[in-house]
Amino acid sequence: MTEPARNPYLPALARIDQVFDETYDIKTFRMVFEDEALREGFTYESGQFAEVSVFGHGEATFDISSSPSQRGFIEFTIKKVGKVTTALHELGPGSQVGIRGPYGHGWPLASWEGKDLVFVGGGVGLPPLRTCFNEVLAPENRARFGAVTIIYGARSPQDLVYTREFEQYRQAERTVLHLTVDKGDESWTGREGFVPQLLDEVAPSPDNAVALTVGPPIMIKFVLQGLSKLGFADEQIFTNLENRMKCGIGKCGRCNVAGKFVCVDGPVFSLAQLKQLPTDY
Amino acid sequence: MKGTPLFLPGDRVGSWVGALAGSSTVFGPQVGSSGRPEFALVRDPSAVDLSLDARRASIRELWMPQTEILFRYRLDSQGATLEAVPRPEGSRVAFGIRPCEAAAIRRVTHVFRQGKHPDPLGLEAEGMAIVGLYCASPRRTCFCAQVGSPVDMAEEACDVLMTPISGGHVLHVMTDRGGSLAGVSGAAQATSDQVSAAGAVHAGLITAVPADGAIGALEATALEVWASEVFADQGARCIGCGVCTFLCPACHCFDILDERQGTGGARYRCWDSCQFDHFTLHASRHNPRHDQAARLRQRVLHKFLYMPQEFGVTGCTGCGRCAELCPVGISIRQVVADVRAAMAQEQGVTVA
Amino acid sequence: MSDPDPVPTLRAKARELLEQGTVRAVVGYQSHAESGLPVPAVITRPDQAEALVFNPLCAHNLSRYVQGGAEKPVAVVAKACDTRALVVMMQESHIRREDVFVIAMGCTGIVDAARIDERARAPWRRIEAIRTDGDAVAVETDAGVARLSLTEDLLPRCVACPVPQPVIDDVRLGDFPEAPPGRPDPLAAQVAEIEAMGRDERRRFFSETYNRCIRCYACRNVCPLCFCEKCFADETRPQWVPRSTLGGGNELYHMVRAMHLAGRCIGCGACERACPVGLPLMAVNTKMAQVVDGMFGHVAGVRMDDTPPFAVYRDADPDLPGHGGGKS
Repeated sequence: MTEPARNPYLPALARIDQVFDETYDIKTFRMVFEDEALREGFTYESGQFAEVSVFGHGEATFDISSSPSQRGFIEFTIKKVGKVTTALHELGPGSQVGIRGPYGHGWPLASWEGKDLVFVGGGVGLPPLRTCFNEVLAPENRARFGAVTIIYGARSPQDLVYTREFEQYRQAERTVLHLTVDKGDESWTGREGFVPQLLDEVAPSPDNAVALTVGPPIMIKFVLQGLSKLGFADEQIFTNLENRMKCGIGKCGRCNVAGKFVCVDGPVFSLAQLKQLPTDY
Repeated sequence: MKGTPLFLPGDRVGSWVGALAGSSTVFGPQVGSSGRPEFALVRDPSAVDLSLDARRASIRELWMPQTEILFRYRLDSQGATLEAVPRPEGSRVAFGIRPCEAAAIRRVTHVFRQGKHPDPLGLEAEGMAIVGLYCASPRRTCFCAQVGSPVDMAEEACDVLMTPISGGHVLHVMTDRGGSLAGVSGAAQATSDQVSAAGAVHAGLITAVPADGAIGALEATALEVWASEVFADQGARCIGCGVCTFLCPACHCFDILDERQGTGGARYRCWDSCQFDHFTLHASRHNPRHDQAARLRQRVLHKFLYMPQEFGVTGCTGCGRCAELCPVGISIRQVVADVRAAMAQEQGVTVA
Repeated sequence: MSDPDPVPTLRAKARELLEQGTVRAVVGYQSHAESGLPVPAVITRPDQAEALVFNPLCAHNLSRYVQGGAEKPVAVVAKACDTRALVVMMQESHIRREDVFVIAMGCTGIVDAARIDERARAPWRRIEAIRTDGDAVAVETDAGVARLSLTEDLLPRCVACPVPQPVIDDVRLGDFPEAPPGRPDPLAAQVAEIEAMGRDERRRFFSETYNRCIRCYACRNVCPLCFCEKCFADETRPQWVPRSTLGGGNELYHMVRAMHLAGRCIGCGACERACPVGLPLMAVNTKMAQVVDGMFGHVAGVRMDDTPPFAVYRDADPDLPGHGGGKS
């Protein structure tokens, strides 16, 4: 007889350690596993996701937004949109949650060593990029990669996330941060305009580079066009699909895109891979 | 037909079910509380009636309960205490399900067994013994013989196959597990006349399903068939309910939800359907499958393109439930046939 | 004016409406490519009009297809009873009269397709033709002719057809009975039967009924008057109805749905026919219609100038005995 399979839906218990208010409806939650061995031993790739639950309210899928180089905690940056996220936003430090994961394939960083990295993010699309550039910018990893360009925009200055970390990116070696907002206000002295326009202006070189882009579908559409115009090949462009998921492990069926499950085969895909798939995302 | 043929007189079925129920949990065709045939847990072996046509009753419950508690929790000021819910224990026997249904159950286990995180349902469905019942005749929308062969499906999935002939059933024992099941039936060696009578039933079902409607896995990429007008044509009348998927013996999609009761609660899974509009709705309100045509396409391609690519088998065995029970008469067989015809026409090939 | 076969006229009308651009789509019936049974068809090209059919097996209430986001203006093939659903949709401002071209079809009752199985000599796979033959329908199948009686084999909701004349129409095709057939209503009899049960027996009846529900929502999705943008059953904030089928979720779903249809349900029976597990859903709907008629003198969708009782407040509105609410 085969060993009975363990229950793959049983979450590990964790506590919220810190909450960072990012915008009026986005918070970053730093979570710490209750089990000490798991707390120290939990590893993941940047770009992977997990299922976070609030008992009594349910479970939802979130990209891990902290960096694998940071140990002892993991972070999720969560917009209040539905039942579970609303329940999460009610919670503060000390509150308990459940976490299953990590799931899926992260950014293929190992294959990017020595390359320049261009991150293009919009709105709440930044968390799955932040995990990656924070890993790249970690002192122990920085030498393995070339220049880092971060292009980020949101609807308004109030919609930008991780503003508290911007200064450290500006100070980081071989790193440039470009910001834009669709529409500024009296306090905003930076650039106004859409992310794809900013990409055109910054015009990063495709030579020995890869580009990662995550954001609203309409932004992605124009960013992909922009990257192609700049000479980025489909194999040099990567994104993170936001399909609705539930189980996270290729069983429940909802993130099916042709023969792929976004939760198992993704969520990270190259544009070359996506072009082999129908647009069920 | 592989396996040693035995013969069991019709009046011995009850005692066999009784013997099986002594050591296993047995599900079989019975008349339900509503007076309709259904597959249910056997409490009274004499209630099992193989003459019932339960081919339009759901058999999903046999391997995947509509609602299944994944775990429970108690909540107090300190937090949650998780409590495992024991998986069903002991051997289980599906008695009197049809070859198409048996094959559907075995095929869907691929999904649950694959990958880094297998789901216990897969092994449990694989571990369930199946005493199949061959059909003397098809129902109107049955198309097992058009999507494969009921004989092959029986060999693929059944531990024992019962074939109704005059006076009883011929039993073909196909696996060791089937040998133990048949061992308590009291069946004797079948005569050559009985074996040929069973053979005639096997062939009779196949000829009763029109051969000209044969379909199979789609030999194409998703991109090649994606824009087919067939999906829009057929999807236009789809009402987006879950009849086809919830009655399908091989559909497996589910949702995971919490239900709180006082100071505790449970996380459970329940059937969900790719035909529901909110199934793929993103948190951002973007819905990649934004109409019923796209949802119909997913159901059809999952069974006739993605499953064959992933596992080498169609995710449809032609049981015909979806076509007969669809409130607006959408037939998956017809959709696949139309897509194949359109592809053939595009390639300049005449379809036979 | 007698039109023994209105189908050629129906096809010509549909073609004309599409050719002249009067409507963007015509919702009608066509024969299923495999079974030959009539099924809904949404056609948008004039050449598709040739596929339209109408016969006493056309059970679907096609007004469901003019809901919400459907392309408008749209023409819909409607039996007299089906027009009642259109009327309710218009009274509730869900659709506009000018957006719907009503092709009303004369009908003396729809027969229950399930009876073909009983009346055919052998298992059938395909219907070759459907002919009206006196007071019967001759269904010619590949396994011989099944004769279905236009009195004995009717759908339950047709037996005592209360509204044989369309409430609204833009064109009338075929013959319309002048008056209801005056037969006893089997649905009312079913209600009486349930009412005659003792409290415990009735409780058991409903609990066993709803226990069998698989929550496929076919009843809701096929209903012309279930047009809420977000159904309470799909709402998660708050979760009005548990999705689990272990507790009282099924019963809650059906009871709330019935309440939402009180005074609105036109009794077309589409829900019950769509149910894959055969739940007797029309019993509660029929009872609800009786209560609304008794209390408010309102029958849903039978007059265009009616005001739905739950859309207005009248000081004289009655209360259920023993449920006085805030009024004396």
